[in-house]
Amino acid sequence: MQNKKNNHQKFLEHIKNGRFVLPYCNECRKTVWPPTNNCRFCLGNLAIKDYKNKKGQILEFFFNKMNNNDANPIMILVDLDQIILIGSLAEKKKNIGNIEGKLVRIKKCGFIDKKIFYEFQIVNN
Amino acid sequence: MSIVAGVTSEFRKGTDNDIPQIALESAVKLLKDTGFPRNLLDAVIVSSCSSDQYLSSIISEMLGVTPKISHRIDNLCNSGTNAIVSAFSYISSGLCDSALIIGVEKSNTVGKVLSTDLSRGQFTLPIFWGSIFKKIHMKRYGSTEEQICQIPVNNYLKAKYNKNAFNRHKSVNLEQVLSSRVLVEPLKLLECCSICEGSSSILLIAEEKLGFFKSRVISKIRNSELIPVLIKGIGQQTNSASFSNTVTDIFSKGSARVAARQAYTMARISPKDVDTAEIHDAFSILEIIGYEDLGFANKGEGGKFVYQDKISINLRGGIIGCGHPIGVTGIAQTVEIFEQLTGKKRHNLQFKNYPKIGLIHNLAAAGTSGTVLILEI
Repeated sequence: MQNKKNNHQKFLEHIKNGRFVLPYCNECRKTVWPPTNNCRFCLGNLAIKDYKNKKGQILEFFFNKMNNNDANPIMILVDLDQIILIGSLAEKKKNIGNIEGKLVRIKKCGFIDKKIFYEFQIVNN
Repeated sequence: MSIVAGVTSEFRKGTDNDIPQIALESAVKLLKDTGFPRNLLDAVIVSSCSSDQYLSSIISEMLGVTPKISHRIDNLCNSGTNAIVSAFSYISSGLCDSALIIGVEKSNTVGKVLSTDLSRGQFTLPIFWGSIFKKIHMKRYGSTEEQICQIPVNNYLKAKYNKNAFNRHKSVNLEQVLSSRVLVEPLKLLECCSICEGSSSILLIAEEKLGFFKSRVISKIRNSELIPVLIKGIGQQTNSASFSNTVTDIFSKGSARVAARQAYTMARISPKDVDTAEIHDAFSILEIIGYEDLGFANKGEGGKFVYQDKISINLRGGIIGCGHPIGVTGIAQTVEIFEQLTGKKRHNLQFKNYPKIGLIHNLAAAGTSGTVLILEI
């Protein structure tokens, strides 16, 4: 008998396929992080919701110079429906100006060196 | 509840020694120095993030101890003080009269990265959240690069006087810290600790049994008498595991801020009563936030507190100066305060000759959990 996948497994599988989904509680109407089978606020049952087109906001941005390499992505701290994620910016230019508060959307997500990545792009209001 | 002995090994990198061998370095020295009878040890608790199995039983066997209670605690960088709190609970409950707590780590420990935290994306290393905390603190409260970079200067200087510190041979001045390589803006290389290996052991006993244990102790070492230091206050708080669920509240409801309030209440003291403190400075900014969470400085004023001269802070060199064997740190911090309070250690840089109250501040995983202990002699 095949085991039913839990929400954590589903999240990872969707990420693998480039889709960003999260469990959403239909009872208390909150997005749940990290992905689990029950709502961490009301222990209610969860449904999976697609967040790939959901807009988030840049809280902070950082120039990552760990590898002394110009290809290092710009690291951003994003509030996506009250889920705070550390992601990278698709824009690679260093003279991007102050992007704090800008709206972003997930452009790509997946795995890189066995680690999850979230790549965001700036979108217009 | 009293701490009666503590020993910390040298912190270093790259030896071939395995985890149990490293653990024995401090544990054997403690038992030999004190002459504490091994058959009177009721509990052996090991603090480590290594992937080695059944560590506490292996180490107990190697020490020739058959304790009632023996297990391992793993709570990332906060493991050490968690192990002390567990031992405290066993003794308070009457289940045990004595406990040997051993922190041990190798520099290749799996505890370096919390790979299960999905909110960090590809930015799994602690330096990424360290830089986030620094940038936000600077922007929100106006703390300056000079203030924050003074932390490594202070802690490297103190580490020079600590024979066990990983960075005991290194000196840095403010210019060097400010101009050191930027890893993730605004965090620089010399503001970060090094993960290393080592061990630290501490012996806890039931206060009312001190006379009994003293009568059974035979030590050949001078000045090895069991001097009790009381654990007067304990605070512990876990806010989350994910960075996502802690970062927005980190400066107002951080785990250490909550833990500090609990510890002060239990000890019936206030921050101004503290003479000496060990603050978890895995990154320079964490010491600044620590000043605020512990009530030494008002919120947002931690930067200015760097230049104070009332409370001795991180006299062993902190985590930046000593290095960070993850499961060891909380125990090594506690051993340091124990040695200062008992007068076993005197520092050139301490503000009071005879400190009476000391505090330990120990964090894990971006401050998602934290412990504060208050000791008194």
